[in-house]
Amino acid sequence: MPPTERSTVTLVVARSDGGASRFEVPVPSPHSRVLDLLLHVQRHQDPTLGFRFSCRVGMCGSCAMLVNGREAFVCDTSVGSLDSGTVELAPLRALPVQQDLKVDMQPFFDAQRSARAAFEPGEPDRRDIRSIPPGDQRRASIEAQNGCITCGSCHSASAWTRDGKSRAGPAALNRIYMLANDERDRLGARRLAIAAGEAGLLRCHAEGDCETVCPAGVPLQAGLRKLLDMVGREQVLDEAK
Amino acid sequence: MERKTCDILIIGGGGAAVYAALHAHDADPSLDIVVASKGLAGKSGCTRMVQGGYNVVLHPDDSFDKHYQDTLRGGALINNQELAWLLVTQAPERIYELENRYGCYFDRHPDGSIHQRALAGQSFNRTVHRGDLTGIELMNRLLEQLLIRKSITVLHETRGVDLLLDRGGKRVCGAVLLDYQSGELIAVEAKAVLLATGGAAPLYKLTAASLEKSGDGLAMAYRAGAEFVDMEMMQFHPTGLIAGKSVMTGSVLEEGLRGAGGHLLNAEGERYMQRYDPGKMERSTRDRVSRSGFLEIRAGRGSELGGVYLDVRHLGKDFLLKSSPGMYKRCLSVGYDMARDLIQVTPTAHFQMGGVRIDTQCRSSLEGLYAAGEDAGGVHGANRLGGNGVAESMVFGAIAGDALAAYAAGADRARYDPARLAAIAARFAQATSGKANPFELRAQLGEVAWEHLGIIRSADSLRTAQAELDRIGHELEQVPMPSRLAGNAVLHERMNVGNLIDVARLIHAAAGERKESRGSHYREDYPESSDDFLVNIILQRQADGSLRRAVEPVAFSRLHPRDLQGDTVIPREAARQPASSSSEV
Repeated sequence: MPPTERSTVTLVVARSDGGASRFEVPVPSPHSRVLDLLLHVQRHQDPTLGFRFSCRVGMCGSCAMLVNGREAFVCDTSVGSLDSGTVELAPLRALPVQQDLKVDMQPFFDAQRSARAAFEPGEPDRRDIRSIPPGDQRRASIEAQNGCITCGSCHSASAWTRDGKSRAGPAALNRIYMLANDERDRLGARRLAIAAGEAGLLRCHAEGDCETVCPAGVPLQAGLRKLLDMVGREQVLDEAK
Repeated sequence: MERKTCDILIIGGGGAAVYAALHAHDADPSLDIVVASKGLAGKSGCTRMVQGGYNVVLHPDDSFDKHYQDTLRGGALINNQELAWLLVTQAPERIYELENRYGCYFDRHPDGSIHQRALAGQSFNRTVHRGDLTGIELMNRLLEQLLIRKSITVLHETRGVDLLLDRGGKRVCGAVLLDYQSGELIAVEAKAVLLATGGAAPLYKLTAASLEKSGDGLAMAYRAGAEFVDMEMMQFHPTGLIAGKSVMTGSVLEEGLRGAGGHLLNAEGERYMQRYDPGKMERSTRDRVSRSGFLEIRAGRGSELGGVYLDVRHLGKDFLLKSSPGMYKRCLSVGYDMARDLIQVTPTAHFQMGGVRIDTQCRSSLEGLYAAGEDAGGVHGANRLGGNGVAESMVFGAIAGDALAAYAAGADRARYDPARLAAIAARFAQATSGKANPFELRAQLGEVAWEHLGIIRSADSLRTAQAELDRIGHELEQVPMPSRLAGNAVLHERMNVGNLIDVARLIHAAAGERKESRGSHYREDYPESSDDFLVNIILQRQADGSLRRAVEPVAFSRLHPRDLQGDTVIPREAARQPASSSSEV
């Protein structure tokens, strides 16, 4: 469907005081970004409007928020693609609002940290680059899940985490799955016990909202299923011992 | 005002800053390290935006000498030869570290070895990468490592305001920071400070850089009186995307598209590079291709939206999707199907080669002040090769981190001059009124820099620039200082414009001194390179506010120019080997 040409749209922006502001904003082109509209508001209408961005090309994930109720990067969302004369903007769920459309990312980063969703090197001082043969299954599993830029969208969308009680969430578990397959990682298969234990994999509702909204296109739900498979397989193996 | 004390203060949130923090921490985990990032740490800055990759000598048929000569040739011979040598020789150590200690995933060849491709100006395929979005991979993994080092204090959205000096004005002993959200100033006393905030490419109306950057580190170092080197050297990338009045405009389309055989056309459909560099055509160097595009546009042969046309249609959809999936998606999102449409592109300000003058330990001319990444100058000379930028961030981030840790272990804590702190705080204490709009001034500054301090310069353009910088600087004083500092975008844009004007003055002064054309510095009134200018331009603000200018011959400590001839081009696509990879992102 070709994007609809509009000369203006109405932005309806949730404000930290609990209210909402409406702004009529010009749209120079259907490819104009929602971020362009926010910058227009900040420069010409209301400089107190709070939002965050950095790279403006979909690479940093700083500008994730709810666009018409769904998580998205405003730098990567064209106005035309929304096909709507009104664009509603709200901050991500699950994280404390700092100012209007900005949330405090620290609880999300803390969730990654407490789930140990970070590489722990088995051979930190190794001075060569491992050969990875073609068709290496473990690397293929990792590559299929790589690309998360920790923007917090899945945390906001997931039925598991969106109430804001800090839990590991889809991004952390996706990373744990990658690490559980990473031969370089010191914890290796022990990652599975963390996933099933303190990271709370079994509490994931498996509704798939995380994957649906992921602005980076990471197949999160598929990854969580594979992680569940691995955890189950380990348990079966353990019990057989 | 809040006060903090730490051992090491790192100002910046990109590759060099985070790398330095990891190295300093791992060298001595008991050190008290503070990282202050203007945006979210690990998310702001330009390392994350890297497409091409990381240049490193790994293959047995490649050599340090080849990489080194490519780097000096690319830099038009005025690189700091010791720094360039460090870049080349330390790059493998850092790639082993990125792979084995920090857990990066890099593409592999079908035989299982690490994939290396060629970017412009390289005599060998030596760029390690992950698809065409390498920066995301690097910064994801580095941020992860930063977060698990719990003893490092990370201050997100906290920018540097100015450096604190001792009473003598020669020793840096901390900095004043500003927390965006609370509006609180924070006086941080530190044994040593690293500036790694990134360069000032966003001075220009068209830029590829992350837009929150405003040369803050450079401006702080300037005001503190540190020495600068070759500030006239600003690289313009020839193929910035044009997406109308959108923040997407200016973002880079990687040069692999030209290397693969893409054509550049003017409004008449002519492959205009045949008039500027018939031998190398579109595969010529970044500076030449940028200049040619600029001249075509200036001569009225530009595209509808004020650029030129990049034509890659003949390369075919399959190839484009495979070799440049990220770029394909980026173009599609602004209405260009690369396989079917001409893409409007423009030269775009990309990378600052000049910066704070550093030694091989990243030390500036002021004790206690270090610089790395784009804040530092000298590594790349007059022009940076693709793939050398992120290598610089990692290599010199590591050097700085190690050096800071060693320094902090031995150095005493110096007391900062309370008068200087009071003077900085006073700028924020008093609300003022005024009518000027900093966003409007920023737009004017971008236009002035583009027209008069940009791709083509002359004595005339520099005169105009001088007058305009004075005018905008004066008008900036009419921007009201708000009474409420918390979460205030106007306040920050006021500070951004102030910093960019400081950097623009340095670019202006150095461009005036260099009466020749070399690398990315082109003077219409001196269009040729001259051996008389195998020099570095040194600038330093004096206590009375004047600018000391010095011209120093390049120290050919490792290689004399007579041993180094030849030009650089983007290698042909045929030279690329296929990647087995994550390319289908």
